Amino acid sequence: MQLNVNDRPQKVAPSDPEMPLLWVLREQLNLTGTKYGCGAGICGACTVHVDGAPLRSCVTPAAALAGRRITTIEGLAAASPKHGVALQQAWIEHQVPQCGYCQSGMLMAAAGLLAATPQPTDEQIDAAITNLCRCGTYPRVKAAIKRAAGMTA
Amino acid sequence: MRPTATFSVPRRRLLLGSLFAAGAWTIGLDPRPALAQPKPPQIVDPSVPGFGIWLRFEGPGLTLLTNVTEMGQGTPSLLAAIAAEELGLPLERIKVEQAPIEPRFDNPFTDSYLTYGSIGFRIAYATLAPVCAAARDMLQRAAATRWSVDAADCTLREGQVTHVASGRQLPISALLAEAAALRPPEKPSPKPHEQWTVLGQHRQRTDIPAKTDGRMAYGIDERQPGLLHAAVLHGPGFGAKLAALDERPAKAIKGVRKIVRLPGAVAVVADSWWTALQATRKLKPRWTPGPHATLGSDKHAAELRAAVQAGQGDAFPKRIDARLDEAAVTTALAAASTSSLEQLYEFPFLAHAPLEPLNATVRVDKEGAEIWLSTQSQSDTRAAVAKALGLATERVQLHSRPCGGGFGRRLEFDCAVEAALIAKAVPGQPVKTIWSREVDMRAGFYRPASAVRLRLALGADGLPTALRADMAGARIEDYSGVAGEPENDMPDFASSMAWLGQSYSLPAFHLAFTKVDRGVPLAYWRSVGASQNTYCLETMIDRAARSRGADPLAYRRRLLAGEGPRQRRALALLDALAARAGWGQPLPAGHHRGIALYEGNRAVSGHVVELAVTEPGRFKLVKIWAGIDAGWVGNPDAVQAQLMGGTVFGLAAALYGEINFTHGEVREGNFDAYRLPTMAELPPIDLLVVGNGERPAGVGEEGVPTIAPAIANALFAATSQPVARLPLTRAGWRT
Repeated sequence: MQLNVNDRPQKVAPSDPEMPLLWVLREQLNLTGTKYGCGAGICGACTVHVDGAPLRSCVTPAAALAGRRITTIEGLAAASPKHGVALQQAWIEHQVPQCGYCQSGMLMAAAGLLAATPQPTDEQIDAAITNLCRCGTYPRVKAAIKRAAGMTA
Repeated sequence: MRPTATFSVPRRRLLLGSLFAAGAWTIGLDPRPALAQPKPPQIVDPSVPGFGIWLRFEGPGLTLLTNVTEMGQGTPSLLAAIAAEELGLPLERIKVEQAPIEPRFDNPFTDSYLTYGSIGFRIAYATLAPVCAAARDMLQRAAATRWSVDAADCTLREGQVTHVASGRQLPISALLAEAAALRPPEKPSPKPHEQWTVLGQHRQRTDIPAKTDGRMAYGIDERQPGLLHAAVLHGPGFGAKLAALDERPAKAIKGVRKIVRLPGAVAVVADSWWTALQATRKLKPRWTPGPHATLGSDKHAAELRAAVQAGQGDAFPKRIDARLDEAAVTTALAAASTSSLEQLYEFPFLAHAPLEPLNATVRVDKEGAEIWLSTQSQSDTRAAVAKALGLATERVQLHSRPCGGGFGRRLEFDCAVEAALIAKAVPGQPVKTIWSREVDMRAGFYRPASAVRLRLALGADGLPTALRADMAGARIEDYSGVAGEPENDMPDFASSMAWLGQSYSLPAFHLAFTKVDRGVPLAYWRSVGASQNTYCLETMIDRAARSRGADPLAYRRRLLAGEGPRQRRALALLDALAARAGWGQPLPAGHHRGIALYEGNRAVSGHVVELAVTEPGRFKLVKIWAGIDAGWVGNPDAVQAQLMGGTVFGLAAALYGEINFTHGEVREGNFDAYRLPTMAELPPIDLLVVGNGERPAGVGEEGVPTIAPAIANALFAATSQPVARLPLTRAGWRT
């Protein structure tokens, strides 16, 4: 089947109808920036965008996404030159990542939030960013989101 | 189950645990004469010309080799600053590279290539600063010879060597050949800490940009030509053995290449990990139960309680601290019978749960093997894999990747060994074994469960005269693949931690340990024994304070009154933290504060917590203040990050972290049952970082031990009821 990933048509071959998008991205398209953390849609490390909205790719079959516009962390800057790029800059400015494993998912969730709510309150950030971070970077994630929102206001 | 830590490797090094024990630190002097000090290794050999193995000057730049694992703490980035400080080289010209995994690049203090225990910056500084200082000395001497001047008048700055008086200068690169022919100085002198201009500043970490755009590659991201993927099933409970297996349901799935049977595991090797995972779900192996197949958490907890109540544990030897004196403690407790306090504490097993689940990519062929993985223990893992494959260590090449979280779990090589045995069944092809989150969480190597019966005798002045801790649990050193040979007279290392390293006035201790081992593999979990013992000590101190009508801060100040530098340093951090938190200021109705302090790894750290009790059994965190005195601070921003991260890590354990057993099997499998806090659950966290020590201190673990007792002390202030069990949900408290 064909998937539109980071603005390019890609030929993929899910091994079965249930094969999650996560594994198609990682193994067939070599897009390893999207991560496996739990396989149950809980941790958010697998977050991508489908038509601009965040989606947890570990629990979404690739087969269900024909014809949809998929964006991964590798394509965030190109797909979201305003919010995505501002977030990545703010992430560096605030030195957000520690081990960094959850951060692709965090950034995708954050970009989805800013696209829908360009000037989020703390409560809106809390509600939208439910991704898990074992290193405890949450306070800096929040600060960087607010910084990016400020940069793009 | 799957191979546990049976692949022990020869020990030449200092016992890993001894680097933690009782707050002692083998680099530098411990003030208590009872503790034997091993001789620090020689870092720079004055008999060998040249700059040594850790520095590689290339043109105008410098490449540093490091054996420190990057797992989120940013230590490798910090090393460039050490070189910049000592050699006057601009930071942009310095690169840091992972050193080859060869014995000559082992950590000289542990005789191995591994990263743990907040040692990264401390050991890196202790090794790299003298090496760079030696190189500086040699460059000065080379310039001095060239110009016929005094070496002391030649300074290194901006990549140049300059003779200040005459203005002559040369780039470092022009002097390298002559300098490299010289012998290093007998006593290299790193720049005094007060003169730092590069270290001690905030600098952006070099690994962070790649962590914002998907480029950073962890072990799980490894790509190799012809890569196959493996998922595994482990037996129910530890020590279970595979008895029977019908492979057909898995073999029928398209893309499945091979089923591999191991003593305690079944692996499916396939074209994709999803296929392999689906195939494991179709298999219904029969297992012979292991020796602890009946393990249940309730019964286990009862055994631990009974052991500490019996009080028949093995005593810790007096040689580790002169204050260990069972007779004096028994006398003091008897004398203080009406004013001694007693509390039984209980702690569960805890999983590390790094967000990158354990995995390893291995290729085995006739000549040897190659392994790619995220690991904290490069040399031990390589040796264990070699041994498992029946190969000489030199035949195994190990490629180390940055870790998606370590926390001590990635010191263990259980997954690596299993992955090697799986790859051995498919020779010539690289196989990436990924443990699913469920397999990872149930694979053991936990922070031990324990019980502690704590007794504190109080004198007429209300201050403690004696402390007795009877502890029970299993020993990490009986399971961890990286533990050294235990010393014969040490009942257990983790249990000795955090009691004796505090600067509180406490004249006499009796520490005893009873081994209660039900076969659960154990590992070093961020802050190790402090995660339990600091909880006991700090909550008991609050009980002691309350029993005398004293404020917990004031009581601790009395415990730290004294002229010793360690007491003054601990008191300074305590006071700074308390002042920042507004300790003593009026609180809104229903709000309460708790405080806790910790000293370890040459750091002092603590928390103040403000919370509101909203209804019986329910509280809301209002604000957290975290503080650390990190000695010499290499990068204040990175220290803040570790303080914040340690706080959240400890908070998870405080609030709801627990691993439970039913019929020998771990109940929790994913983050639904083994909860981690989300952003929404955190109150504001204030971070205080100061640097008032004589040398660099550890920071990676030091944010962890005090958050749980600070919360418990706030709840105690609210209700007068001690909180003696973690997680708090087990003690009847929810957020």
